[in-house]
Amino acid sequence: MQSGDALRPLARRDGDPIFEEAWQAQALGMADTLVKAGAFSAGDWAAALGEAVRVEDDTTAGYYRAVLRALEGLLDGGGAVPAPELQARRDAWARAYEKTPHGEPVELEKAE
Amino acid sequence: MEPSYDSDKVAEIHRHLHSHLPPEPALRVKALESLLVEKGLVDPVALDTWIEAYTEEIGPKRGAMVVARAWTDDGFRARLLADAGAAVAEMGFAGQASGHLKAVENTDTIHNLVVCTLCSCYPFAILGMAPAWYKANEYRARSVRDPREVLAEFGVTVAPDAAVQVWDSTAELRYMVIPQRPAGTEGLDEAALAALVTRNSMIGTDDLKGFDPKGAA
Repeated sequence: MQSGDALRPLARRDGDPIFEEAWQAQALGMADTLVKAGAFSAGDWAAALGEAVRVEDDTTAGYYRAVLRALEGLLDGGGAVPAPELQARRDAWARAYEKTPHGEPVELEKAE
Repeated sequence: MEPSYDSDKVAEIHRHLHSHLPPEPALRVKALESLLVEKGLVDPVALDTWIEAYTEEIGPKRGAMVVARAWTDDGFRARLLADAGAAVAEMGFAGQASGHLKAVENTDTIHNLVVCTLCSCYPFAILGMAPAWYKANEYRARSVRDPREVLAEFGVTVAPDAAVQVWDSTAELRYMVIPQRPAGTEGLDEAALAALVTRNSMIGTDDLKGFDPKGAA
């Protein structure tokens, strides 16, 4: 496993955009900042990501789905963000998006 | 009996008309980010800094090349304005984020400004990562309400008799601005022109008036 390069694996596709969507950069950015802050170790991160990557297709989108799954798994396992809490927050954001009229910024408060 | 439009029905109609729920992973990332920030596990400034750093790496270079081509090739410019997705594909920039791309052109009489009030829609494949301010509530709200004031804060003064057109991106349609070619660039080739096109100029918050032809010659 190329764990040393686990946070910048797509740089080898030179000329291609590293990210296709903002959420991909945000997911990787969160993983990197959490490793730097010591929330989990670089080794744990690489292991979780390596496992998640194996079951996704080898596309940019597949890779970042794996990043997100690995991140969610580590945070759930360590108790920092339990899965039910994440699901509840995801649902709250979905409601906020649905209730916000077009032309207004979406804010979480609108759902609660 | 009179039809009754309670709030649920109105909300449902609204969903059909306007709502563009972000894709599932984007929603989960949003949820995760907001929780991690609340819990103090992620510093939002550090996260923005991280993403900004990558902005340079994936950069707006593709968009700048598209603009430079449009400035130097009228045929390409016409194709770009007619069907931006197909035109950027000509340059080898096909990608899922550029399929529904619309190019809008600044002229002496119209200045275009792009915002995404609802989602974080942005043509990533062409312009790289959106700047942090583009995602800010303040920009999303004020660019619609008072675009001239927002532009002034970015140092862009639009003549009183020129119109400001604000384009609100959606999941289905994303915009890039073709800025006006700065004066004094007649002698520059396409590559040199691309080098002076800024990311913000392709969002509308830079008019490239800061370009100094003497410095580039």
